[in-house]
Amino acid sequence: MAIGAIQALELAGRNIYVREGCYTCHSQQIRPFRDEVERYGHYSLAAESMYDHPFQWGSKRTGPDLARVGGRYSDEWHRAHMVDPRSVVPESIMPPYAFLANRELKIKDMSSHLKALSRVGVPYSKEAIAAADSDLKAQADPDADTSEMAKRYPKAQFRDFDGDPSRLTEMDAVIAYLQMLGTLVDVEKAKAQQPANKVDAGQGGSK
Amino acid sequence: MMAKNKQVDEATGTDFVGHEWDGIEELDTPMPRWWVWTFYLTIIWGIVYLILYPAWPMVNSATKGVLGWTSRGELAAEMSALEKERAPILKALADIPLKDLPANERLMQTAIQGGQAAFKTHCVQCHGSGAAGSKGYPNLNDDEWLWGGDMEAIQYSIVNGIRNPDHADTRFSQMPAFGDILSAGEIDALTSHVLNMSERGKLVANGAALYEQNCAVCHGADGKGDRAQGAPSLTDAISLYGNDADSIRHSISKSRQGVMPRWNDKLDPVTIKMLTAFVWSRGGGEQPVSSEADTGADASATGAENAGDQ
Repeated sequence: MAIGAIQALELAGRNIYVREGCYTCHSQQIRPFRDEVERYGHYSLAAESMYDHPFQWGSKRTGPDLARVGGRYSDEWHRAHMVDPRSVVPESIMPPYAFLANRELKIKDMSSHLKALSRVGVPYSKEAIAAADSDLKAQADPDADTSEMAKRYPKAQFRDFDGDPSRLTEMDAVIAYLQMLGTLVDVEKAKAQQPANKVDAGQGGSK
Repeated sequence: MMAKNKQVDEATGTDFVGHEWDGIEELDTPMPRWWVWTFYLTIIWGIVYLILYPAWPMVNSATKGVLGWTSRGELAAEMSALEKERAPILKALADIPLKDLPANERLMQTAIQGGQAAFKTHCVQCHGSGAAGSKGYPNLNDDEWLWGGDMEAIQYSIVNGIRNPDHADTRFSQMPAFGDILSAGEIDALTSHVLNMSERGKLVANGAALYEQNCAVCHGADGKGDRAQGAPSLTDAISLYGNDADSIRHSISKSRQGVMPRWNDKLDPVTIKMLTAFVWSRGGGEQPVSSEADTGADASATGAENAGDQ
């Protein structure tokens, strides 16, 4: 089971997720109970949030758990849902986040951000740190050459996320982050009875 | 209590503690027995719990407890008991070929119920809790299908998704954005022509010619669409993105690329089969056109084999 570090654009999305307080209504932790496992998928493993600083487990679910939301919905669904949640889920009580689509993503020295995270154990390579700013732009740019970047982030998804390839918005970043959630782990390789700390130990060795 | 200060309260027969503040004294009332014994019992219960269950935090993990209980183990036991209980019916569902399922009433009903449960978990966010869809997300209750409405076609759509990024077998078609190709006037003419096809709007001179040149190859000369390409029929009042003039103009100039995730990496084949039965049973289910319909193998024959609802 290998979990890599998340890409710069996803990290920017994660920062917006934290800024907007998404964690106050959405958890990112599937507990080992039948009802949760049947609804959300395999329960969360400790290794999945080991590179989260700070972790986004949350403590309350007003909305659903998001630990494995990646790939469940289309980018267009996420965009429509963020702009007006009631347009796709009439019974939703989520507030709209339409402004994300209108705000340019401000990048403040992503390299330093990655470097700081690498100091606390997140496995960003030297190349990844150096290329952070251009990687960030390339992930959401359909015309960018991403072959080098794909080597750095083996499970990366490259495409325009917010339906407007001409601009890089906060919506791009948040959708990229959401579409990544839960997709980096191979739960089949972690057996149900395997203790969490054993999974951790295998990962922690690289620190 | 020392004998020197020993005093007994006359009213209750209880000893005094021996303090006095401005003439107010405190009685040494004993704890009720039931409380004391309950307290001792909790201590005993606590010790037993510490021995049986994980309790003391150590450096790398907690003590395991003699029962060896874990929440994950409990879940695994619960899930395997459930699996055992469901095994016969799931096996029957796995074994039956999709085309024979509707004829087997008991299995079909089971599949529909199971499919309904899975639909509520995985599908309602886009297709709506009543499967009626919304703008951009198709209604599954009617008999209008973009990619085909027989069981095989529906299953193929669920398994492989529509325009699922990075997946070779996904259903895929791409309408050009005619805003980059045609002039605004030409798009207006086409819009009128499309409106006219569903018997609204007036006929315009160059509409038919423009349609013939640009649209007929996918949507058909008669506008009935082509399920092999997921091209919708333009002749009815059902429209995924709205059928007023503005919506149609937007669709022509910007194109629409609806996406549905593939589910074969998230759901097991039996769940997908049950979902197929549920969607098929909603009212619009079609019979397969050719009997040897094989999942998406022959795209050209009728489209229905290679199709499903978007």
